[in-house]
Amino acid sequence: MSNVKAAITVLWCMITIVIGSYYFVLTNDVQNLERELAQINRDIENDIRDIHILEADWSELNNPERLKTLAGKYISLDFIKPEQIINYSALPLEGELIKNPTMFAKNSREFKKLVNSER
Amino acid sequence: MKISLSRSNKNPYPYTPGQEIFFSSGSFGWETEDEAVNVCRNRILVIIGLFLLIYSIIVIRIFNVCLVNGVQIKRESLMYYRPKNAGLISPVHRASITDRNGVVVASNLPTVNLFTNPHKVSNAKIIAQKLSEIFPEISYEDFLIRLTRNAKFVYLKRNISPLQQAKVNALGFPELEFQPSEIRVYPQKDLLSHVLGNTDIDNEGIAGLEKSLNTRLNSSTKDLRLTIDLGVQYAVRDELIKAKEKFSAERATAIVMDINTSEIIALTSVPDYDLNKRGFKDKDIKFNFATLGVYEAGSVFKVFNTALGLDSGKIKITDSFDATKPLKMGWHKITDYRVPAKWLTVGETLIHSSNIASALMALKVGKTLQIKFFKNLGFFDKLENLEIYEKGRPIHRSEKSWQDDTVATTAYGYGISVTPMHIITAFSAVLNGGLYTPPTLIQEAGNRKTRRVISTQTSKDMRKLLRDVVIYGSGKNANIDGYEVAGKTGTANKLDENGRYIKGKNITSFVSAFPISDPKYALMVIIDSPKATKETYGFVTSGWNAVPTGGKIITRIAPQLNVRPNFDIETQQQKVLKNYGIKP
Repeated sequence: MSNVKAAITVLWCMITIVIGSYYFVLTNDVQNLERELAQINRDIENDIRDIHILEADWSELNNPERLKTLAGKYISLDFIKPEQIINYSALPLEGELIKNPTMFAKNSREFKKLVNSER
Repeated sequence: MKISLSRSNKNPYPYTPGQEIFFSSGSFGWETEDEAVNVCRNRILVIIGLFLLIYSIIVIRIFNVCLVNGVQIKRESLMYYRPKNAGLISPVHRASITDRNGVVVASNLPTVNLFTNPHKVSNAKIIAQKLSEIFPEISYEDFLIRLTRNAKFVYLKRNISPLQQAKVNALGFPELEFQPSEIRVYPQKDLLSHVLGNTDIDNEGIAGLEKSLNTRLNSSTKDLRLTIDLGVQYAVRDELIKAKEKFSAERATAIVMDINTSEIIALTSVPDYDLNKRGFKDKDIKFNFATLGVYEAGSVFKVFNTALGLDSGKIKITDSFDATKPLKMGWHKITDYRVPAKWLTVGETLIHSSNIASALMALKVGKTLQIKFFKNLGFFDKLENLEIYEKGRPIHRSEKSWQDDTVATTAYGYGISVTPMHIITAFSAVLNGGLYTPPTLIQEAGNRKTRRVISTQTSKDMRKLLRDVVIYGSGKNANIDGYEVAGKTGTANKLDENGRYIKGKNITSFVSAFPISDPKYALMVIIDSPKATKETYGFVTSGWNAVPTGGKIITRIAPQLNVRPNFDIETQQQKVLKNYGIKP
């Protein structure tokens, strides 16, 4: 009977130790994970804030007025005209032109304009 | 040796002082002294073992903390630890607004407010001096007043930049403290001023969508996506500014609308203002004419009059009306402006914009149907579904006092005042097949109830009639090759604040749709008080200012809106050869 009592006491002690140790380790792990989560959330918050700033910056850089000025300054683009939007089949790619495409380019007013602007 | 533990019957106390204590066998579960000693030893060993185990765990943990996770823990220990509040909190407290393509047009950015407790300020004069150097827009005296105010909390400057914050920090005054804050910024500046409105210093909406959707913007951080296309908006505004300058007008307004969904693609009214510069007091600049300005639209109403006539079945497209002489309505006489004095067909009525023929048409249809139709087109009510805060209420006669003279004058746009938004929405309904859809500025708009206002056949007839107005009539200057523009012009006398007509001042309008073979977009241009120029040969009617402006806008926005010019292949080939200077 006394042996049984002792065994039960030892068993309880062992269980307490095991559970206590497990709980200790678990608490530590949870705290670590919480720290990690909080850190990740802080990083996300910072990223969201940065993205907000960058999006606003991007929007400002893409202001149509600014793009128009830059396009006019560097690539001399102008507004598109209705006659510039055509079907592929309307392109004069037959006869002389298909044989000698450079002639097509040389004869083009647009080509001459481009050459002059480069000079 | 046997041990026993027994009380003497004679002595009430178990032991006399100094007497040896004896244990009787079996009392504690062991029989001999050796056994008892062994039990004690074992227990001591267990306790030692336990302590060893605990200390081992501590040693292992210390080892783990110091050597394995040391760097990570050190980094984390420097930061704010909040295990109970580990959920993600958005750092931005008001949703951004974007255009239909996702380009940000309003956003909250993190800033810092500079504040102090004046009771703690010991050297106010020096601090005021230093701060006025960092913030030149605030004077030394102003800072001194704030620093010496009898309060516990005073803002010295709100929304300061990181550079300014660094400069203030470098001053080294512990009384100066910082508070994290946010500021609403508008990266597109004045491009969408009347649509977006503005917020106050506490980021609460005070005008435009910022005001009407304040709760939505504050309750969710999900971006609010508009139906506005920024590229189209810019092109429209750019052309309007040029037109306003060219015709020395007081104001110019334009709206581009998806004709089938009533989504607003562009909405602008100039003059406007940079949303980032707060504190504009000029009401004229803040006035959004497109949705708030009610005006007598003039001849553009002939579109609705004709649609009503044809749809009612009381007028056939082949009918003619006598425009040879003015029409007398009691004391009032209805006349025409530069219209051939002859019998005019329905088509000619629109092409020449005859008031007389339009009035005759309306009188034939009658009061009841006219009122019902105008109600159906929303001309008697505010545009309740439109999200913007600034909305004008139409001005019109009551049904009781709506007599024949009103029937006749409203036929050509007098005697009823509505906003440009009312007109373009109704115009879209007339040309899209006959379905009226309330306009919207946001893509998350709920179910907008669509209703039929005219039949599909009437709508088709109207497309043809209005195309003729642009080909042969007052809309010629907007007849852009390939884009099949159809529309109607209107020139109306301007009313003053007391409701009297101002001599020599007009409001000109042009409402149009393109491409009319399969209408996709509607455009309305309004120019307030345009002046004659050499180019207009002294004319100030719509055909000389609003129409060419509309034409220029369509030329610019049609490619952006993916509207292909409708040429046949032969015409296209000729244009290519001509464009590239090649002789076929």
